[in-house]
Order: sequence, then structure tokens, then C-alpha cells
Amino acid sequence: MTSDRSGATQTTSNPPDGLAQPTEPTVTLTNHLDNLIDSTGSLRSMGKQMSESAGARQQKALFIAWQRRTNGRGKQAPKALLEEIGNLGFAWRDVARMMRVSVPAVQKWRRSGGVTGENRRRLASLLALCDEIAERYMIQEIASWFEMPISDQAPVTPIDLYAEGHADLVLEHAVGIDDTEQILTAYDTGWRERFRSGFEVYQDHDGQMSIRPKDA
Amino acid sequence: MEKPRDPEDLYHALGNDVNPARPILTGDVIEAVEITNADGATITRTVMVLDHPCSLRTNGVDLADRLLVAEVHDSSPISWREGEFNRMPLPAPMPSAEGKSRPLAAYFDTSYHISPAQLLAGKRIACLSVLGIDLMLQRRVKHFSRVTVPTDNFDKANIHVYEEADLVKGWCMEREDHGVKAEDAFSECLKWLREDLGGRTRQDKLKDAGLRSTVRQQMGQRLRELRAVRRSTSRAEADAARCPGPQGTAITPHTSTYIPPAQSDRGATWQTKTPSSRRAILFEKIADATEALSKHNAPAQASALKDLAEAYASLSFPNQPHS
Repeated sequence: MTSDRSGATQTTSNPPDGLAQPTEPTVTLTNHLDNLIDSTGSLRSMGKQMSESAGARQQKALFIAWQRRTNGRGKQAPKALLEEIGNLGFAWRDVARMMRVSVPAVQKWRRSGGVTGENRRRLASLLALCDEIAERYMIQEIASWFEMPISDQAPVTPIDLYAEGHADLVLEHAVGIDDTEQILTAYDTGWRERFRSGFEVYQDHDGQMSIRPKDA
Repeated sequence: MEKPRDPEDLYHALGNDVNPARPILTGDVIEAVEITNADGATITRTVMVLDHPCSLRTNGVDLADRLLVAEVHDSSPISWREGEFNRMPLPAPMPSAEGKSRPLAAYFDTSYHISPAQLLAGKRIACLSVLGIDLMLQRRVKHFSRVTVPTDNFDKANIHVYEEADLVKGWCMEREDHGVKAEDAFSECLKWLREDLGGRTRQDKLKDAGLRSTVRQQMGQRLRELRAVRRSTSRAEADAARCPGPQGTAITPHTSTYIPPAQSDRGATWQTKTPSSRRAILFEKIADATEALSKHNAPAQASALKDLAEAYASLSFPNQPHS
């Protein structure tokens, strides 16, 4: 055993004849590796900067496209806007949340009008966003998409994002490039803690939905 | 334990905004309810419905024979997260609550069993929002079991019931406009929701988040069909009631093209009508024209026409309803 170890030591320090010898001095190889690490690091950094820059430009372009559509939609009467939103299959309570008004206020708009200019624009904005997402990203059943959680890790939907003033994140989610965790973090940095639950919802033997601990 | 970001988020509707068409639901607050105490004495209280959404109705339509309600009265200021789990805070804008200093609260430990008749004899003054119901259930479970369940779990477990309540309300409002009684509209809606669609009903589909919007779309379509039937029936009734003119077709309410009465009715028909029947025909024609404009992608013009007509009506007939 001792002789083996001794042999191994010899092999490392003095390669036997027939094995390839380094063609360059070790110092040069180290320099090459350093350069490679530096240049790839620089490339990654540039790539990240380009990605961020392109992302920001895309966001801006998407925002402008959305605003243009909003201006177009704003020409429609509020009642027609509401009818279209209803026809898409949105729940009125969700529409009220996204418009930041009460449910009875939306009911009044539907029955007797009285929509202010600001709320008319909000209605047009929502419909324009639906147009933008559905047409540009081929998303079907748009109301259903708005109600679908953006990730398995938290019950946050595009409706939640929009209702809390993050239309930009709705667009990001529709683009589908960013990791949903990034979107959730942009929405709420404490989302992991906020949505942690030791419970799960399941259908019980009587057919009703029930709640139980996850390890039950 | 959780709290609302804004107290207003707790409420679906308050005071006069509470829509009678909305079915009684968990968290509804009803005032002037007569309660019979254990000693036989009758007291009048404001109460909140505590029964779980799934156990409120035995057959989906009729309320259960005995309903559990909690007494609502004023409270000291409440910290949502740090205790007083025996109550559900009801801060302003809840009627009778005075800001943070004097909120109302529903007390889980002061509860009564009452009959549906007792409950319905009172006046509903508040409906909780989905978040409000979830928070109430969270506090109630905490009070009775010391278990803290996140509101998101309650939401996921019960959202189909809240959804159904909203659909029923929408259906009843629309059908009441068609002259259908509220209770008949309620039954009609539930029949539609429970229609067997090959082993699955629309009510079942409401449990699937991905299918809810489709059920809402289908309901909108069904109501449009019923509205068309209603309009057609109304027109037939109006035609039958109307005196025929010399040509018999001077006013043609079935056409979707707007013909001003003065041009279309050059004979005696228009002249012989009473002001109220002229007004009815005029409004019917305006409704037709508005609908035609909307269908032909001219909603702005449709709205303008309606606004113009309403403005004209309010000036010409200030004491009459205009829409």
C-alpha cells in the first residue's frame, strides 16, 4: 500500500514516457482559463443587460400598444364596453375589483349608466388588455385565463395582478418569458410566506369541497 | 390570522345597495330579526348568518329549517390579528359603525337558532364580499377550534357557492325585468344550473375554475334568448292592443330600421293615439334603433341616440319615467 501511494505520487509529479506532455507552461494555461472565465462572464453580463434592456423596451412597446387599443376602445359607449366584458365571461365581482369600485356600482352602470370619464377609460383599458393578450399571444378563453393562477405555488391570478395595479405583470405573464416566480416576487416580495398553507382543499365523500391538513 | 387591506373590501353591498335578488348567503347581516329566547321572551336583534354556504339550503332553493345566526352589536376597537377571535369585526362603512373607534361585530358566542321566516321578516343591510366571508369563516374556525386556516383555502373550497349566488342574482335581476317573480326566477335559474349535460351539470362545472367563465357565457346567452322571447311577446301584445290604421302597417315595431313616427304614420293612426301610447311606441322604436346601431358596430351612435331620447323625454315629460 505504501509503495502504491509512493508510485502514484511519482506518476503525478513525473509522467511516465508515452503520456502527453503539456505543450504550454502551466502559467499560460492558467492565463487562458482566466481569460475564458472573464470573457464568458462578460458575455453573460452583457446578455443579461441586453435581456433586461430588451425586456424594458418590450414592456414599453406593449404598454404603448395597450394604450393605443385603449384609446380605440374608449370610443365605445360604456354600456357596450360592459356588455362585451360580460360576454367574455368575467364575473361582475371581478370586474368591480379590477375597476376598483363596488359591485353595486357596476350593477348601476349596467342598468342606468352614469359611468364617469375615468371609469369609462378603466373599462376601455380592461377590454383593450384582453384584446392585446388574446390577439398577440393567441390566448383563448380570455376570462378563464384571467382566473387561472399564474403558478402552482401561489393562488395569484391575472385578476389579482390587475386589481392591484400590476397590468404590466399581466402582460409579462402573457408574454410567457419570465419565470413566474419573478412575477410573483414583483407582485409581493413576501409571497412565499403569505401563501404558505399546511392545508389542502379536496372533495369529500359527500361530494362537498372540504379542507384538511396536507399530511392527513 | 388575516385582515382586509381596506375595510371596504369586506363588503359586497351595504344598505340600500343590497340587492334583494341575491340569495341569502353566509355572512349576510339582517336587522330587526325577532328571536325567541330560551325563556320564551321575544327580542329583536341584528344578526349575521353563520351557516356554511353548503348547509344553508337543503334542496338548493329553500333555506334550512333552523338557521344559526350571531348577534351583531357594537364593539371596542378590534385588532384583527391579535385576539378577540370570538367575533367578526364589521367596521365602517358598515351602517351604524363609527370608524375604527366604534365598529360593529358579529359575536360567535352569542348565537341563536331561528327559522327562515324569522330571518326573512327582517331587513338585509349588508352582504359580505368573498374576502369578508372567508375572513369570517377563518375567525369562526379559530374561535371554535384554535386552528388557523388561511383564507385562500376557504376561498378555494367555497368559491363555487359564491359564484352560484352571483349567477342567481344576475338571473333574477334580468328575469324580474321580464316580469318574472323573484322566487320563480330563482327556481328557473337553479333548474338551468342543474340541467344534466351528460352526467355533469353547470352547477358541477362551477367547481372547476377553468369552466366558470364558460358557464357565465352560457348564462348570458340563455338570458339573451329569454329576453328576445320576452320582446317578441311584448310586441305581439302591443300589436294586438293597437288600433289598426288605414293601411294597418303604418307603425311597424318588428322592423329593425328606425322610421320616425311623423314620416311613417302620415295617416290617422298616429294622430288618434293617446300621448302615453305614442310615447310607448316612440320608445320602442328608439330601443329598436339603438339595438340595430349596436349590432352594426355603431355603439357610440347607439348610446348617443339613447342619451338624446332620454334628454328629450325628461324635458317633454318631466313627471314620467323615461327608461
